[in-house]
Amino acid sequence: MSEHLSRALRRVQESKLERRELLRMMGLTAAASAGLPTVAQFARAQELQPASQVIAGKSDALIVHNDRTGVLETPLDLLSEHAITPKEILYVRNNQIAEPEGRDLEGKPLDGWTIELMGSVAFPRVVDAATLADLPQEEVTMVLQCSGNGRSFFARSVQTRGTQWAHGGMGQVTFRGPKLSSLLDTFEPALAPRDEARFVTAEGKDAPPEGSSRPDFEHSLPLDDVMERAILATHMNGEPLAGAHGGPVRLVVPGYYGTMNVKWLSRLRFEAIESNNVNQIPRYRIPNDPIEPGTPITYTHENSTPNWRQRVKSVIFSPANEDEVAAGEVEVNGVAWNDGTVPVTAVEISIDDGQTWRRADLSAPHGGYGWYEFSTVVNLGSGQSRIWSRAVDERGQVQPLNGSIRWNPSGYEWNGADYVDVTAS
Amino acid sequence: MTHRTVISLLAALLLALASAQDGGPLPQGPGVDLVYGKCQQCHPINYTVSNAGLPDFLWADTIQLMKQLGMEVTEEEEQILFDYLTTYLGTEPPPEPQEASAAETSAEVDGAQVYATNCASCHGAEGAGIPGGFPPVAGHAADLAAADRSYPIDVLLYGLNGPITVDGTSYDGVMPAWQQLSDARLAAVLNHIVIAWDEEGTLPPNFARYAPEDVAEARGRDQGPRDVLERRPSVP
Repeated sequence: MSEHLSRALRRVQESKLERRELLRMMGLTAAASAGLPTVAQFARAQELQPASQVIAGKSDALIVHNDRTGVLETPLDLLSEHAITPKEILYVRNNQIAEPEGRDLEGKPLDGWTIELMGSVAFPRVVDAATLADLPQEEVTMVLQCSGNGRSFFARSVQTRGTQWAHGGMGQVTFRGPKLSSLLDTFEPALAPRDEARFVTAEGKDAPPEGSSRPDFEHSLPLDDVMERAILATHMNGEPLAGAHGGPVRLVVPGYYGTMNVKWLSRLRFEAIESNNVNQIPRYRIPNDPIEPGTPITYTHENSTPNWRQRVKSVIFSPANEDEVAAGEVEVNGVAWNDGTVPVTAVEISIDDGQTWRRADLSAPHGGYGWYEFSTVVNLGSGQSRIWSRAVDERGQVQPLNGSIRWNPSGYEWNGADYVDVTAS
Repeated sequence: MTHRTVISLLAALLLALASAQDGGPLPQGPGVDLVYGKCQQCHPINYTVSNAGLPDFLWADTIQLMKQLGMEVTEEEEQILFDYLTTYLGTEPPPEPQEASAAETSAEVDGAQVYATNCASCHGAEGAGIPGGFPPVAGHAADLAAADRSYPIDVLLYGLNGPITVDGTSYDGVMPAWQQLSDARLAAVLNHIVIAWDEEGTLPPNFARYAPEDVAEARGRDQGPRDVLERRPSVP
């Protein structure tokens, strides 16, 4: 074997790509067999910097999608090993990064970090983050999930634009910090948004690359939810909040998609209308009414909704897709969650493509915004089987069997019923 | 042989083939250099490649979105991008990617043209850079080459990532790797930026022109843009 070939083989063996991803890149699956440039694509995919070079302290087991701003995905087998996702393996999705805060997993000093409160309020204020430690603390365990998580599955109908996440753009973490409402109450008189305010627009200290005309990143969130439950998170998993995850202060609204939980929080604007920033419209939105996969839509504030409240969803951890298992009784387990405002009432499993369903056992979640663990045993005969899972919540929301009924051009908010294909022998 | 072993062997074979054909991840075709040049300013090229299969309207929409996010293109360039993306990364890509012209020699390549297509959008048409954004190459490339002849080759092949100072101005950006360009093209652009732009006469009189062989020899090392930063020579 030539030295070149053996080196290449070693790199492949060391690669942390999921087998499924590898197959996809190599064009060996049906979806990717249409003459795509798979050979060179695979070669290039190896050239991205490992996760620890993008953000110091991150595990090199993470899948690197973008080695500049940091877009890192947690392989599902690694995610399933922990009830609370450690910071070393927690996914990252940065449009832009705060330098140098975002480049490592260390806590950042609160002292001297300022947050502006402005807009539709009687008196604008500037708060030193050091004062947050003196306020009553809230702790919430919650699913943090990129709104693009699962985007690659939309390609089962029509390919969508953006990072081709599998399921690993999510984790479960415990944030701690004072509620925003507690902070507003400390002022004399209390800092109350004016009646016309309907949204809170959050900005961070991250910035576009120097010399770029790219607009700065920001998001608008509904005022009611923010006032009810937003916290100014200074800690995660019992430690000062890692810079890479938004430290020293991150706006956290439990139940909301990750993107809305603005990192490196620098300013909150109370406003009557949603921002027109490109990251609020047309990015990070989905149509209110379903559209045919592969058709365009021109977004308006009225015909679409931002990636706010997470959709009900389940993900199978085990068996893994394409696993080989022994025929007979096979344990199926995974996690399920929703936006946390009502309980998840059931996770159902099917091994006959949805003709019949059985209920899995559900664990109690770590508080309303965390995920439920589900498990059950199915009886598989020899040969190929497809195991489905779908979650249902108290509002009656259920995962669609065909996730592409919510197809949207940028592939946000995938929540199709999950499945894995296994071979029993 | 297990399933996993078969995959590994296949992958290794494909990887070896891919490296041997001296191409990047994008299929060869008209406009491919411009796609590399524009896309990699903001994100790794794997983003573009992994979005293969988008319908035409969505590529058009994506070009508009990237303009909103800071991509600067002329109308003509926009058309070239659209034609390339919808042809080679669209819903019906041609089954066989076109081969690059096989026996390209450095004499046939215009280094100034390679620069204009691939480099000028960041470093400026005359190599003066953009203060605070992208460092100059005119004059600076000669300084680097005078200190270490092989260093500029590595910057082009492996990129550069991290804080540097040029003429007293600090930069902290990312230069992508340009491995997808042929040895002849990289040699030609090196001769353009290092030698033709050495207006202050920094280089020694016997400084040899870069040959495609010099580039070929530097390929295939296991290093990345931060490794290149570490071996950066100290220059003014």
